[in-house]
Amino acid sequence: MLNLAKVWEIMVTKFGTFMQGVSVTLELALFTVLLGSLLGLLVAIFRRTRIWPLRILFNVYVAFIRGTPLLVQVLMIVYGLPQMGIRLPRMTLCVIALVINSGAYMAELIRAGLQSVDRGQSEAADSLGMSGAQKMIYIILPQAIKVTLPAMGNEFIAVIKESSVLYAVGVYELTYQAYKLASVNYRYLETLLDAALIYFVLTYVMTKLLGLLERRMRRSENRAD
Amino acid sequence: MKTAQTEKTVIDSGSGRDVMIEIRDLCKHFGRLEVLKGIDLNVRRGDVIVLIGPSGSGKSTLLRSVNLLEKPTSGTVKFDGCDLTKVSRRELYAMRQRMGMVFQQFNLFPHLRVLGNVTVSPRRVRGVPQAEAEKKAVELLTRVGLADKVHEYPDRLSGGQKQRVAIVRALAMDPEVMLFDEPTSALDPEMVGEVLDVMKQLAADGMTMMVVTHEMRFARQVADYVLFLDDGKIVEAGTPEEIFDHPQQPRTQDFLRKVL
Repeated sequence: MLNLAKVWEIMVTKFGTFMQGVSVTLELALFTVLLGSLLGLLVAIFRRTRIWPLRILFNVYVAFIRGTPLLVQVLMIVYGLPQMGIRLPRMTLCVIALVINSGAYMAELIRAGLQSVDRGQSEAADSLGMSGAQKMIYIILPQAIKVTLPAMGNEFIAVIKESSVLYAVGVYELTYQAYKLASVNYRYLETLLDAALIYFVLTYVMTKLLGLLERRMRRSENRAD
Repeated sequence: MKTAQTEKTVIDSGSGRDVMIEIRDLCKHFGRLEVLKGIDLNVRRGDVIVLIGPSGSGKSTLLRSVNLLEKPTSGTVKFDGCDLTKVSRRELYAMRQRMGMVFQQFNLFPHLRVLGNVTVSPRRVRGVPQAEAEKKAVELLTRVGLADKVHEYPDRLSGGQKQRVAIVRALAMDPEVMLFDEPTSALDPEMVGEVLDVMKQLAADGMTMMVVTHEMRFARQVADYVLFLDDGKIVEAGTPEEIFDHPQQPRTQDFLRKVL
């Protein structure tokens, strides 16, 4: 049976261990989202250009990543790159795997953002003599990013949760820490429930923060009030 | 052109000055739909050309072909002697800087304040220093009565104000010709006047203009030359007096009866 007292006890006594896991998880998520958005941005932009080899390459990339399991991708990168002679710290390999994964999803989000910008904006920029790059940088992208920002926030939350698959390659993130504790104290249910609670608090707080940010952005848009 | 009866005539806006825009045998198809069926037109420097005609007649497409927002299916569009259908992309960008355009839906940049809307192109495309670009922007905005709106975002402006900003945004690039694509069609009636006033002033200052509009009074007052388009062709062309008072073609007569 689930022992609620144990849930509490483990949380309190092993709080430090959990927090080490949290810090690794957040670090992973932060790097992944920052680098993933850059990758996604690049991919989204080049999928729109006339450079067709890049377009095909990036289309295949997005389709492949979205159509295969994250765990398989992680295993391929974390064990595959060293096999190819690319020696990097485990943590770096994990970030690479997550960035490659997240970049594909970000590319889709940003693409939707780019598509949401009215055609008239592009025509107005054209009529002013802007080049394709100028138009993208000064007119289209700022508007697309604004539309995409909330979805990027959700991606951050998703990565916090999904990074738990890294437990499989022995990175000391939250899930791994909890599993390790449980395999010593044999309180799997209680210990992993603690981990779940911590994940929940993280994502819940993040959701609320994002909601706040979004409302503030909307308010700055209609500064009538 | 394969018109058997009528020999090919180039419509010419006719004042004695040099030809700025030279359109020859311009055709535009959207899939199977033929929107323009062979347009021949000279627009001379300083002239105000007004394009009228029923919706779907191709007048907007013709206007948008001048700065190649629409790529012609065949034919040539020359600006200042340079064939825009043949130039490199870079040259096209340079040519477009010399042509201003105003859209029915304004198309202001919503993420930029009025000042940013007007200065973004001079600064980013021409490399004009910020202070200089802003000084000129404020000057132009003051001229159209929007000095107090400089720091507003577009969504805080009325339709008429938006369109005046859009005109100023185009003027900030010192264009040699201004293209107006139904500039008052999306406006509430009480705001049409303020936009037309700005356009009249521009015309009085000698700006070369091509205007697609349903404002027949404006056409009569301001146009040097009126083109009536129907079914992808210029059906009739002439001075406002010729077109509005003595239309020769039955289709022109029919159209004017409906709109006047």
